[in-house]
Amino acid sequence: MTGADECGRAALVLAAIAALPGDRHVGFVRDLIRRGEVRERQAVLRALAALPAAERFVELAIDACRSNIETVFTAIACDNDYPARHFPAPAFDQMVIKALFVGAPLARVAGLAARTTGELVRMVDAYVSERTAAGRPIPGDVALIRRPS
Amino acid sequence: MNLFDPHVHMTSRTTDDYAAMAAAGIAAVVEPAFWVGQPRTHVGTFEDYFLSLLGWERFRASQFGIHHFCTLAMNPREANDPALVDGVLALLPGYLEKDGVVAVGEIGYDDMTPAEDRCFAAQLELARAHGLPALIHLPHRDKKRGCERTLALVREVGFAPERTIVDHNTEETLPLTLASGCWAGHSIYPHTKMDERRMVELVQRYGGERILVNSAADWGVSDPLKVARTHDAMHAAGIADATLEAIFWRNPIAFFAQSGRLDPAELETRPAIDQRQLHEGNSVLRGQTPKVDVPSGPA
Repeated sequence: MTGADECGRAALVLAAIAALPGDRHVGFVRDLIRRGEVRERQAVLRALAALPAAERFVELAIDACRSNIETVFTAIACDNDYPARHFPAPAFDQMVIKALFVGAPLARVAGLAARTTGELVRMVDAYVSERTAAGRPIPGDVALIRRPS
Repeated sequence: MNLFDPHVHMTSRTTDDYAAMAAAGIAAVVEPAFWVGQPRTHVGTFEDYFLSLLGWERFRASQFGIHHFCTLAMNPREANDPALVDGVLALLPGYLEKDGVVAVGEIGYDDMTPAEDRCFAAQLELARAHGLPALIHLPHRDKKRGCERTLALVREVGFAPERTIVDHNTEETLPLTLASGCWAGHSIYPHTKMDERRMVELVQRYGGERILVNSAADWGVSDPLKVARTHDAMHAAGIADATLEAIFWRNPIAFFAQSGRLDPAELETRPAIDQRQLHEGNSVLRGQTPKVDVPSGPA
């Protein structure tokens, strides 16, 4: 869940960005994520969608999906408009499959229905097949992936 | 019987783990270079990591009577960081020539991005140039497609399948891996990847040829005794001793001996434990009486 500290930190990021020339924005945000402790990273990731010309930060956001720290992953994957607005399809698909893997709730992935592609459906079907072959339970959240009409 | 764990990240484990592994029969390990849980931010940290696998970790293993080998590479996940890839790829040729390096790995796919394609192919070429086998990690997500793409890339590059091990197989990928002529690794994990019971069923179905089993133990919830536990489960299920010896000892030796840096005869004798020894002035001991033994005979 987003905490008051994250809201405060996000406000500081927005203020700092407003004071910096545009060509330094990406490097500044990259340093905040790289040098941040866990909640600092989460706060920056939650603020990304609100930054000016937010598409400039897409590589940083995709990279955050590679985190093994579950709260960092959910800061970008859940309750965050950024991926649905800016991720290319392969990155969005990988994020959704990872959410299934780590048990992050798909109901909280913003824009999931609109971004669901045939390829994502195939990946989810393959995941169900792999789990079935392994005799492992299927996460209930796969039902939230609907074939695009 | 001696056991071989052909994929275990000992740098993340304690000396208690080394002692328990040795007691359970583990006589040799291969430690692949991998990702360390969070992204590294400088090329220099990779160099120090490679040096620790070749130095301190090899020494630590020897202090518990375990032969330690490693594989070096840029791992698939960090292959997506453009600030690191070229620098790490430039480091590798010097380190791939070192004693104790028995393959290029872990390479392969994580997200299956174009950056991963490039890094994977470049490192297969490095393996070829240095006369080393390749250890390939299958992705956790979209694994079957990842396996198909992996085998297609190995074919496209023209890398010899008999010098390739594809690791982290499941029920759905093993038939593909075996049909390709590559060796097939299986990581036995407490909750994910593969477990002992399923591994028994796979060996009952496919036999032991080109099959390897590892613990892939690392900094997460994992178990460095999974090789020994899986051996015991197969024995209890009535799998023939000759098959067990192939899977848990002969196969990893045959595969990694292709590097020319692992002498099967030397492996038949455990390193003599002499805990009086120091590595660059450091001991694994903290005030204990050093354990010292004489070399044991052939196993």
